[in-house]
Amino acid sequence: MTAIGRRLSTGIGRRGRLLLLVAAVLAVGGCMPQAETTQGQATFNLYQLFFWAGGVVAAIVWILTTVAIIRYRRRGDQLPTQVRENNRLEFAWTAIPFLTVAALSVFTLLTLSTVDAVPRNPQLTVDVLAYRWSWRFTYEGQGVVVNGATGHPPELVLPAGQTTEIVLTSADVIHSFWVPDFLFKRDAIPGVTNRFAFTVKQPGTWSGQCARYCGLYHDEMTFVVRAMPAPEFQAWLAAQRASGSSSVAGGTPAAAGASSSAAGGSSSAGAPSPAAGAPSSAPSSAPSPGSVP
Amino acid sequence: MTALTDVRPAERPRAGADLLGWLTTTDHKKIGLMYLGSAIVFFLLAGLMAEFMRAELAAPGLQFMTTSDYNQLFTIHGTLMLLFFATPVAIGFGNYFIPLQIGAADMAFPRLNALSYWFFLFGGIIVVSGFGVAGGAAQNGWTSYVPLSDGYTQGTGMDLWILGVGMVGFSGIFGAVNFIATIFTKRAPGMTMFRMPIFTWNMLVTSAMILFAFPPLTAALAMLFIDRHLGGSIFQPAQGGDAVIWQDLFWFFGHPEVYIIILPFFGIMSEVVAVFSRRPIFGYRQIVTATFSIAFLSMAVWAHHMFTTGVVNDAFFSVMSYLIAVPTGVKIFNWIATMWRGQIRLTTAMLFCIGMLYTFTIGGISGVMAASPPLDFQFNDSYFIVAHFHNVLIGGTVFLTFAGFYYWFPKMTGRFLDERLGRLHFLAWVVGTPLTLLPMYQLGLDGMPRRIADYAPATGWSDLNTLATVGAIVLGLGTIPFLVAIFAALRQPATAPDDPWGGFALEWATTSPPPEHNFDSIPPIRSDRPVFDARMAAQATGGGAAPSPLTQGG
Repeated sequence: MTAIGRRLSTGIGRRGRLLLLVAAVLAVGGCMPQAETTQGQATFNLYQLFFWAGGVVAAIVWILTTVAIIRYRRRGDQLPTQVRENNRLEFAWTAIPFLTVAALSVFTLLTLSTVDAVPRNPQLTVDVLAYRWSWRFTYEGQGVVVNGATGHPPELVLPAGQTTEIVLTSADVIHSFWVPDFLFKRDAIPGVTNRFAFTVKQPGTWSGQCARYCGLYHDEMTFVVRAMPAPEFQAWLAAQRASGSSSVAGGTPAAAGASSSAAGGSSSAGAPSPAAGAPSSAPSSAPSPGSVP
Repeated sequence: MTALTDVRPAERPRAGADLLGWLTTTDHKKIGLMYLGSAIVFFLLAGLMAEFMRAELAAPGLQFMTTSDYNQLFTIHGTLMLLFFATPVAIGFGNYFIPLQIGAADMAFPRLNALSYWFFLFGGIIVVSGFGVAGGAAQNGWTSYVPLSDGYTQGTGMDLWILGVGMVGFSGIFGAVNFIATIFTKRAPGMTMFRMPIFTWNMLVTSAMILFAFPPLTAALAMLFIDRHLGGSIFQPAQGGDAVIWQDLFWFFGHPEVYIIILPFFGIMSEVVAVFSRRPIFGYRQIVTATFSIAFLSMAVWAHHMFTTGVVNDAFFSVMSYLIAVPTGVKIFNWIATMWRGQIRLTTAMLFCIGMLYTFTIGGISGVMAASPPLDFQFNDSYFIVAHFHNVLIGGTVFLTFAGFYYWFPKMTGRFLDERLGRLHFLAWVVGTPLTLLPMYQLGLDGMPRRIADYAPATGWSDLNTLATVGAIVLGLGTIPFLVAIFAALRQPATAPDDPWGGFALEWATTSPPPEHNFDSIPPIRSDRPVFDARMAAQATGGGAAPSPLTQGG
């Protein structure tokens, strides 16, 4: 009896240490970055809920398993009780997970409506065209186009504190527009126009990239997001328009990846891209037979 | 084949007669062994590819290969692991053990069985042969999204991939038809449906799922081939096609597929946990119900792979995906309840099952997280998702494949896998798995996309990547004891008794390995544990055979 008692107590000690270790490891493997947009903030909060709820579930399973293998390790040759079922217990461990996921569903759907919301009158709309292997940002109604080239990431300049709508499509294969610090991505699909919006909280600079594998230079299909105070942003737009006549668009969608002689990452004002028509309307005028609202 | 050797028993079999025997066999046990052996070879090949990829990712910059090499590696790694290891290894265990567990002499359609094996093997060889053609193997990922795989990919590698995957698709359909027919028509007298072992139940449900899931894949592959070579434009938006429908078809196959490659292993889990706890499986009927629930729900969750496309009903597929977590969770509690108040023997097979409870749970929880569209907007196509599905596939499918090998190896060969090597094998995998995957979760949250050969030093991802690579090396080295154990065992004489573990199901009622016709006699079947019942009856009459040393151990 005492032997078993001692064995149990060391088991508990080991279990305590195990739990600490597990907590440390989980902390390494589960930190969502702070969101830089108000929409991302909702996602961040939802993640915290899931993380801790998941932690509780994992702890229950791990503790029960650990207790079982310590307490019920074979000690003799006696046949243990041959229990086959227990309706009440089985009902409980069906109903409790069901209620848990029902609750998680509610929080998820609430957050989804926040994250997916597109304002009727956004302060700024940017048409984003993804192509192998870079991005073109067309500021609707502003006469400003920013184009990148493979290996020369373009810069998406935005006003902080204002809501920007993105109208996203692709010129060739499927890509995905992802800014990890915004905790958001959306696919750029040829023939489909996707709309989403976000509000950057503070001025700053973040990296973005294509998340959907799109061929050889997928890993180089990056871009930069720079948010600045609204007045500065207006000045930036004006400067882009003013310098428009002097600069040439970078790699075009048609010549994507081809070593365009134009400087990548340059921005130009109103320079129409030969391949995709007028800059301000190109993405939305793309044929979209498969488009679903 | 036996006929050939029986005619001239005194003579040594002619050289090649053995080989011919394997090539022409329709015996479910030989076919099962060929399935298992081939699947393990594909597993080792794909595992080696993973080691190369982890070596490349350990530090920024391209050290060992070109981007194109890397892209081929992840494509063929995924294709082999899912379609040429995980699915066939389940079919291999099914082939060997379904007829034994239901007391049959063979499968319902032995020749169709052989055909399905050869389709699988040559499908795999065709996919791998892509490395030998100009332009290399397919390099669009195991999902081969269009239009990338369509008009934007030249080269024979992609076509070989379509052909090879198409062949394994047919192989799966043949196998599924055969399992269903076998289970419905070949059960021994007394073996009612609700006396079938859980493994057989799960193979039945898995087979039904294959019949629903594989034809859409085959259709999608045919469409892709038409687009590529016969002037079609099904997936080309520029010519009025649709770029998203491939994803619907692929994932209508692909999501049931992930349950196709976990349910058989849940079946193995149910067998091993019960036997090594010396208790009947807790909640037999609930487990069977949960298996059916998973099968039904798995047909309605495919678009959770498409949350970020913006063209599916995220809310609906999210809720369905949450629901499928419930029956999976139920099974975990049933296994723990089976162990509770049992007499647990920590054999290697049991250790892998317990390891599954610890590791698979993390993968399951990260899966529930990924079923939330807002969270998936961050996880999708990042290393978080890579970590999630490797967590369920290693923690579930791979751990339980190993459990199945340690558990059934004596039955299949008459020889034991060394338990000390087994414990070493288990230790390496139970440590290596979180060491590899936990850094990947964090990398995904930090913004590392999947399917990239290189990353800039400024991203700050190199430390966690190095850690993940160390984990992958532990897993790679940890596989060596397993292989050594197999080779060492095969050099020993076959001495394993009929029932070394104190088993429950009918496979333990025959010799190890079983004779070609499987059974000389079958004990009466009065419950789902006929061998256990027979042992109890023998003990009650005082004639109980002394338990073998192994049933005493652990």
